[in-house]
Amino acid sequence: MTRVLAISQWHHLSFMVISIAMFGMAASGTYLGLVESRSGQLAKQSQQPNRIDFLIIAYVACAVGCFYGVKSLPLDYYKLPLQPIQALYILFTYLSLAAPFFFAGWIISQAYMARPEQSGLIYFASMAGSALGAVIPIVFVGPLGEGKLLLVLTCLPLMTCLIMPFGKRQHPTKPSLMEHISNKRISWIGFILGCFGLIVVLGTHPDHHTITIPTSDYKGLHQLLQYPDTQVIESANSITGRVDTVKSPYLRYSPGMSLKFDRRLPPQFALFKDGDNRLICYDPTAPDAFLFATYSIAYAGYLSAPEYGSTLIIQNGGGSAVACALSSRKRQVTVIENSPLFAKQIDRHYDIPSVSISPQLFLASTSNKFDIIHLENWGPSLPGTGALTVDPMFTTDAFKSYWAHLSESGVLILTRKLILPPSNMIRIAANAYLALQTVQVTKPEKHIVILRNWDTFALLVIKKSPHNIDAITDFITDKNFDLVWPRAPRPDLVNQFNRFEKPFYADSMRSLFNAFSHDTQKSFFQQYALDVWPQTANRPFPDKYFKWTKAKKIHQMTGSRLYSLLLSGEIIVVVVFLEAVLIALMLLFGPIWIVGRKPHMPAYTTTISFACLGAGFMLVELFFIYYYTMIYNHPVVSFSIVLGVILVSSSLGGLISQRLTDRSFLWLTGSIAMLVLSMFLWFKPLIAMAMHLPISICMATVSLVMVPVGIVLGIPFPLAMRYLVDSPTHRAFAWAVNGSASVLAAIASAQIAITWGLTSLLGCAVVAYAVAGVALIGSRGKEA
Amino acid sequence: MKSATIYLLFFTLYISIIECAAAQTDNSIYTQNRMQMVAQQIKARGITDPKVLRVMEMVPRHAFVPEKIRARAYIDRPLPIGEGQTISQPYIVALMSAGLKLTGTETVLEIGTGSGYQAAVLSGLCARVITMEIKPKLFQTASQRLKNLAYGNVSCYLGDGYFGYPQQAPYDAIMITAAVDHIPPDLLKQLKVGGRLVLPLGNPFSYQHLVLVTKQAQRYSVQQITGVLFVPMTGHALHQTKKGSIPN
Repeated sequence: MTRVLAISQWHHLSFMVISIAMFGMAASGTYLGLVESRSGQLAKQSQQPNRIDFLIIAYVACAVGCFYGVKSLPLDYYKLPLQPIQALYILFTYLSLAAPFFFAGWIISQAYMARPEQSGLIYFASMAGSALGAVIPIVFVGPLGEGKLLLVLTCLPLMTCLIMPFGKRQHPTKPSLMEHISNKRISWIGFILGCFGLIVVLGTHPDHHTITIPTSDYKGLHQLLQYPDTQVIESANSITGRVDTVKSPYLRYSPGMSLKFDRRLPPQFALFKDGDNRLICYDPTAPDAFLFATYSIAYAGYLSAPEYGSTLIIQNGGGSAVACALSSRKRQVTVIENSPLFAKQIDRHYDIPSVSISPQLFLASTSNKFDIIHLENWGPSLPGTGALTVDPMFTTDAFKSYWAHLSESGVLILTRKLILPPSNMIRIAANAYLALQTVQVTKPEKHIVILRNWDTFALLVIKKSPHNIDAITDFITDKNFDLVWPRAPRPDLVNQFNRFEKPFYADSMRSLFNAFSHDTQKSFFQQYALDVWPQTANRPFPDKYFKWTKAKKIHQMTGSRLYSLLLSGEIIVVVVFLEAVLIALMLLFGPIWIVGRKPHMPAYTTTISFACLGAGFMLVELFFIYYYTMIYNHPVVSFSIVLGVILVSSSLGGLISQRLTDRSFLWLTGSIAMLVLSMFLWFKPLIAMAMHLPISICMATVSLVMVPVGIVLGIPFPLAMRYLVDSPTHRAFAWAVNGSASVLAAIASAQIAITWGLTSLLGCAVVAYAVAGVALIGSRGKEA
Repeated sequence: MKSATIYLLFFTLYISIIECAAAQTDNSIYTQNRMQMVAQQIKARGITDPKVLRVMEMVPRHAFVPEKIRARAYIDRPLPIGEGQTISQPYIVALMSAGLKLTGTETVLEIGTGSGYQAAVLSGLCARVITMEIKPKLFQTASQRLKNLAYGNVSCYLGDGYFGYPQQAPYDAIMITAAVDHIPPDLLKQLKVGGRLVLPLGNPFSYQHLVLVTKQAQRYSVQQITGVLFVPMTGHALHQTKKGSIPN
């Protein structure tokens, strides 16, 4: 589902996946609790033949139905201000995606209700199965594609109908074949449906519209395909993204180009990752193929660096950096590309060594110096969707690393889209300034040059100081760019060629560097309407600009249009969070309203402890997912590996819990809180140390770090299920409470992380486990 | 029989008078709407160029929109004209026209004829308008309409405007009325030194900035005007330009 959401929308909605799953699970607990409180028979019914098989069939039917239901829904939440019906679509999508998990949760919840003494084993089985579900796509999404894999994984549970342990029947004598089939009628129906479904899905062509995932109308691929004579000529899938290769006579891609270039661009084709992030490949055999790059804004940096030097390109799509390097006289070009499929294409197309690895890992593993380090990352087509995306390319820590790897006369080049009101330019310049200040560079502003055209800017960090600004000003004048920083030696270099009403960018840069030189930068960042605080490895969200305290002002600045505000990914988090709060409240308090408080509901302390256990687990898990995105270099890879490792280790914790008694609660939750608290001390240094190890050992180390944490996190819940709640109804409600808290924690964690940083998630988790510990002690007395 | 003929004649005369009166009423309503449009939507927003205001008062915008939405021709919005295209909001038409600062002697190239309304406005502001449309249906309708309305200084061509119309180049001014994410180099080449190009620049499927590009001997300047929302520039007929049917 994370892959599906990444294609159909953007990564910024991936956080919803966990909440959607937990919401479905929580709903099942509430439902079962209500039914059990009325009939008192549900736990016993789990022993009945065919019940589990029936639920599996319902799960599969629901999943397939919802897949097609959501696929055909004209959901476009950016139209919310214009089409109120979109609110209904969002709700329908959320409920539909959660519906299959209702049945999955039903099976697990019923198992807890029926076999409390085996809670640890049930926990082990469900977590290990979930881990398998997180890891399988890494292997199979390539050959099958997202839609097909989703349907195959949906059908697979039907195969288990005939082997479910719950389906084991007691027969005094060996039944005949017909008796056997008759006894397991539902199981056989499920099995046959599963076989049929698998055959149909596997036999369907990968490009058939019934199994392909449509991309958002706002994505670059969808937009390019609107042009005539444009077609996708090849598609490839991997866990890091679906890559579509597109040919079109309307591809004329060259960001940051001077208007003085009056020739035709060389023939080009595009590769789109997940329908948006594009890589352009120019025909290197065309006459003067890369001449156009010498007219691009980034080329200013190449003029300031030594000839015949070495170049490191760190990119996430784009294509103009490679063109610049090839048009200059630089040799030894190395490309670090975010997408493995893009890296392979660059290697093949230009014969340039290209690897896909986290830039931090690469730089940590080499002592080489480069004359040029060129960063290219144009971000998503729709501004705002990147607000929740972890990107370590532009943090202060990253800038320190770039600086350390520049030769004595080296230049760092960075190009980005120009945004008005000035925001990304300020933040990136502040990051560069702080990084240089940290490594004891005197007067960092003397090393920074910024130029722009009408929609692009380039920031240069020049190691040598004083550097020759004349070459750059000549280039600016000749190619009709505008100088933003340093203060222009001539007034005709500022806001002259690409004119805004006022020199907004030059003014804001002057204010920023003034603030730094007078040590008033904190006040500058606080007063600025947008969030332009420098980003660190602890808060690596470079496209997050929204400030809740200045919402009114931002609304006015963007033309008083609600549409503009909704472009911010953070607004989506809040909308989804409010919906989730509403749903969670219904799940938690609905039963009280329907069945009354006692004797059906667990004690308050028990409820709090289960809620805190769910929230604490989710906060730690999401901390790892966010943090490891910077190491695994991709959000979905990080998501899959972290979930896989945490869930497997938690399942082991579930097994261990079978050997523990209720006396363990106090030291257990206390230990977890202490362990999570201690991570503030050892986690970052350990990861920093691991990054200097060979890459495979580094990957193994960072993965293994999660194992002990996962094991201890996996112990309390099954233990509490076994000892703290003493009736099937209570267990069902405890399951619902735990799930609801996880829903809220999953969504809240996104806002917490982008506002206060990743380690604040750990802080919240410590509080959650401490509260859980206190509540567990209290509830032991009450439930007894 | 004679009296029947007289009755018939009277009846025909009566119908003609009624229709004529209705048409006149229609025209006077449209004229009134047009005057209000200029006063409330254009003048009030700061466009003061008297030539532009006069032309906007004269060009019958209702004649450029489909019959069924004719009553809404003068509202402060763009309107659909078929083929997925729109006729721009009156204010934007005036703003783009005023941006070119035409004196009446120029040759102007317009990319994206659409309904023909913008070309009609331009025809009152300059000596000659070359307008290009890529969609054959729109081209036929617009060129016929401009001919019927006797805009004699407008020449329509069917073709991909991305490459301009080099046969008549250079131009004193160029106007692109479809969104494009970069400035087509061919159009810059076809612009005279001192010439002006106005276009909606930015993501063709999102919102754009209306910009004015000025070409000087050794430099171009790009001036941001305002945020706009245009339909994308698209094309079918690469290099297949052919002459339209409007005689001068």
